[in-house]
Amino acid sequence: MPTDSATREEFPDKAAARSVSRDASSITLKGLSKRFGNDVVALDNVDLTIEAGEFFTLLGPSGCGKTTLLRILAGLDSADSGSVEIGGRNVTDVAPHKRSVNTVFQSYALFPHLNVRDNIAFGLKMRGIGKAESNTRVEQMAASLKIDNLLARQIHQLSGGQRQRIALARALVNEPDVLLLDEPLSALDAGLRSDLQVELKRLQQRLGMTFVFVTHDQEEAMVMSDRIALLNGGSIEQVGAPPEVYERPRSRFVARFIGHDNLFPVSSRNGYTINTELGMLTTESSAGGTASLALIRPEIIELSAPGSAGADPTLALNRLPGRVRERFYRGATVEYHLDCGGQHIVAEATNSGERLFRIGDQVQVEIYPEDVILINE
Amino acid sequence: MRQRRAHPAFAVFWWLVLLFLYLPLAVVVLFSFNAINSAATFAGFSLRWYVSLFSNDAVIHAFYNSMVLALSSSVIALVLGTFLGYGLYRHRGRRMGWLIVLIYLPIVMPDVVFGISDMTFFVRLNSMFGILKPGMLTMIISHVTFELPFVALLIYARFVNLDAALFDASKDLYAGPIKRALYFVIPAIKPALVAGFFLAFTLSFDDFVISFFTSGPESATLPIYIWGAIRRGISPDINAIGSLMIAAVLVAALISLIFTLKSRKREGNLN
Repeated sequence: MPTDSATREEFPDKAAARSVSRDASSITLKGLSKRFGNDVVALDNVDLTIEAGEFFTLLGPSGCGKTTLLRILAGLDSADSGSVEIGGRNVTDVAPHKRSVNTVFQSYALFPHLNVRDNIAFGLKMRGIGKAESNTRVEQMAASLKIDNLLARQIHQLSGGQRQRIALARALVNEPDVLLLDEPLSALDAGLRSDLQVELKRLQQRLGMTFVFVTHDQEEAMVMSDRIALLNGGSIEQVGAPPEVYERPRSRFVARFIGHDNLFPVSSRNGYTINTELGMLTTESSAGGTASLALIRPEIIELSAPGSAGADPTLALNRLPGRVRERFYRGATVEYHLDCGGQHIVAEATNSGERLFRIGDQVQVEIYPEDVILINE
Repeated sequence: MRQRRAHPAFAVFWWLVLLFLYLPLAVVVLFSFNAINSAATFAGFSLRWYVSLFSNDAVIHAFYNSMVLALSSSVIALVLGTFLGYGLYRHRGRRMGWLIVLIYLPIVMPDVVFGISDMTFFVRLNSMFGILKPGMLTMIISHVTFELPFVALLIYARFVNLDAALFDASKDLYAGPIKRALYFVIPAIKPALVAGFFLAFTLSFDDFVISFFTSGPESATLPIYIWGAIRRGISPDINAIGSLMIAAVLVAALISLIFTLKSRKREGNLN
């Protein structure tokens, strides 16, 4: 693993350029709306600010508008209303080829009639950058992405992972203000995918470039992003850093989409106590007004044998009796599906090597008050 | 992998097909080198029929007409067919998708129908407005119309096989409309352009029916000349013309094939 200063050497001009013109790469979206046909709402009055140098992820299920939003940033689609500012400049009506923005497409979209070198150089050539400079920049970029041995190859001779890097190089070599990535890892197999997640994140930190990343994979979003915007039905449900959206989801949709969920409607609230279908639960705080949903993440639930002292008998724990209905062994963790007084609840226990509970076992379910997350919808 | 052996009857059938396909062609080529004026006995090798061919002004003129017709009509058909194929591609998802049927129709239309209707059309036009007198121009127009659907469908198929995101990628990589056409669209469809040109050229070069109905007195092509000559009896110089046409078509097919193989090597199985 090279040190940070050493890797910066590979992009000397860029690192310098970016520290001067960091503001050139912030993005402000105001009131963006887009419809396809008469009834398909792709985006509904979206306001969003993306900071310069941020790894920003648009996360949501298919059809939530995330790709449309990315295409509007690239200029490939136009919004019906609203405005797009990149680096303080209004680019709402600027054609895609006149925007200092480059995209890594989901299918990579490498030109089949060009070899790797000419693919990477395409943008430089279109901007009229001379052959000598273009060659230098292509070779530097290829070296930094470790694809310099592929420059003479044809596209059909390459693997998915190699194509992904070339698509990345082809976009980055133009030194855009903003790099857009449209599910660039979705076509790769799991191992390569997690390697590239880490690599992309490092690359972004090294370049200090604004990355806008689109994915439907919540884990990918959590691993890579500085901030995540959750989209649902063309609207933004929540924007925040990964721990924020995970620990303080603002809606049922966010709670469901990020992580596994145990969601229970809250029927009444009295001080620190809430009444749910799971029973009375003690919460950490009495502030915050009414709450409509209680979220309990599976991994924070403690399980112990009934009658045992449990995690800490002196604490004001929520203790519920439960029975194991199903068990899924995952190696590092074990997932239990429990029946708690008729309610279904999922607990994910760390596999510490101790005896596992069996299907049918009676268990004690323990939940710390601070782990009961209240959602006010 | 296990190799399946063909049934012996199938092999016989196969050789019969080849025989009926190529034996007549071989006979034409052989007798074009005949030393005597006979279609029955081969009396030794000679180039006399080729010599007489090249001293025959009518043949030279017909060959010239054929070349002018085939070259100009296929270039025009290529340009128009490329736009048509691109238009079909761009609108394929919309309500205009059924328009492609109109492109297929001329391909299955009998040439005789095409020729007669073209002739009637041009004659009527000429008598009403005094324009488009039957001759090279009317032939070129007719040839363009029947070559056009073939070219358009080749180009269309090529576009359909391209990743649609490539258009976005070229826009994203700073190519304006003109650069997009020059550096992305034309190079990307080049194999189809080459194949379309050679297909149109050979279609035009060996067309008799449509040329016959739309030609004027001065614009006889090689097939029309052959037809006229044969009415006076088959002479060995017809064999020589036939052999030259076979050679020309083979060369065109070879160039097209080399090009296809080259682009296939570059692009894998995209074609």
